[in-house]
Amino acid sequence: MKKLKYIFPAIALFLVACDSNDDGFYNTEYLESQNSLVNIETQPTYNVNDVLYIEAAIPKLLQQTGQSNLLDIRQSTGNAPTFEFAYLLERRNAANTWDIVDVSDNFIPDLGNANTGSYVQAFLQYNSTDEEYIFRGGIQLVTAGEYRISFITNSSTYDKITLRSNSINNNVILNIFSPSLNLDASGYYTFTVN
Amino acid sequence: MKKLLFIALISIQYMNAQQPADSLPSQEILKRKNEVRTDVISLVGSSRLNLTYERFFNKDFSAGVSFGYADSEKVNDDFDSGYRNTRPKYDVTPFVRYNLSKSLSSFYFAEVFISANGGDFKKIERRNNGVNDYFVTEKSAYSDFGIGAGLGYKLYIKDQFGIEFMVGFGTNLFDKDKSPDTISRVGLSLGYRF
Repeated sequence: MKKLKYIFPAIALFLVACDSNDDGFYNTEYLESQNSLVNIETQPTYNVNDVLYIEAAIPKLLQQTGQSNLLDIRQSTGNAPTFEFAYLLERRNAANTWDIVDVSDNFIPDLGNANTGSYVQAFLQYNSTDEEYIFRGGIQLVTAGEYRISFITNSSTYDKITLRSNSINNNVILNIFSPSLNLDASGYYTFTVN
Repeated sequence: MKKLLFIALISIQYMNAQQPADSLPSQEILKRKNEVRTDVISLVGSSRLNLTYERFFNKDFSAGVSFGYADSEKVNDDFDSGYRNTRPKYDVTPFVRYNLSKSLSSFYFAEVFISANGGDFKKIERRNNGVNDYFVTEKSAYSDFGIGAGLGYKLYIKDQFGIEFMVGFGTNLFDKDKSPDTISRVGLSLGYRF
């Protein structure tokens, strides 16, 4: 009986510590796009003051890997106002390591919106004429050197880019993993500015 | 909630220290064979009403039934937002208890219980609108039966007013695709014995 006095509170505290709601995010659906949705507009060579553009487009009807029917992402997300993804630019320093480049002053918006700083948070906005979510923005390359671009992803493979719907009113949130034509297996596009 | 339980544990240990470890059975309390009580922690912490009736057969055994109904704003919000995929609403829980101590005014007990419980369940489904596929969150009701066991401590003031702390857990058995895997009976109850 004396042992019970110690075992009982220990069990209680253990169970209370385990009492949480971290079972997962049950409004989110993860899927993979068959086609590349994000494109780095690469050039054969880069010179100082060139602008490197990244554009993204998600069609209303998406061809999903492993599915025969197209997926209506507007209906799935309850007409989500935007999708978003994020990327960052790094420059190799003298010590042969990579520094993150703050792009706040060098970002050139074109389509959609973006928050800029140590990384770009890009928002694709829906174009009802073309029936697609679209973003295009550029980074002016103001200093010579070796650079690389990578995308922030929650995919298990680095060369997939994650685009997430900003669904409202508790509608389904889509996490779309897009292949990229420009990234290496480690998830980088590396280039040199002369 | 965790602070309340921690205070309850400390209080119980303190109160237990003030009592003779295994005092002789009180004849007065044996005459009082019925008890009603309510769980104050679940009522305050999660807007869950829990009422229990217990019948004492002798100094060792008792049996009873608990009725629970939940309508917590936080649980509802978490369910709608997708932080959880179940929303437990009601439970009816018959139980049998065995007194692990010699005392009848302050004692540890072991309990086995069965639970009929139900609520709402949500899941993302892939549907077809006649041409294309889409995802939608669908809600449905669940009901299940579970079994479990627990340990508790009970203290009577003036052989009438009971304070009870209990920790128990079990598992649902039949509708496990929808119902919560684990059912718990953790609470601090105040009761009246007559």
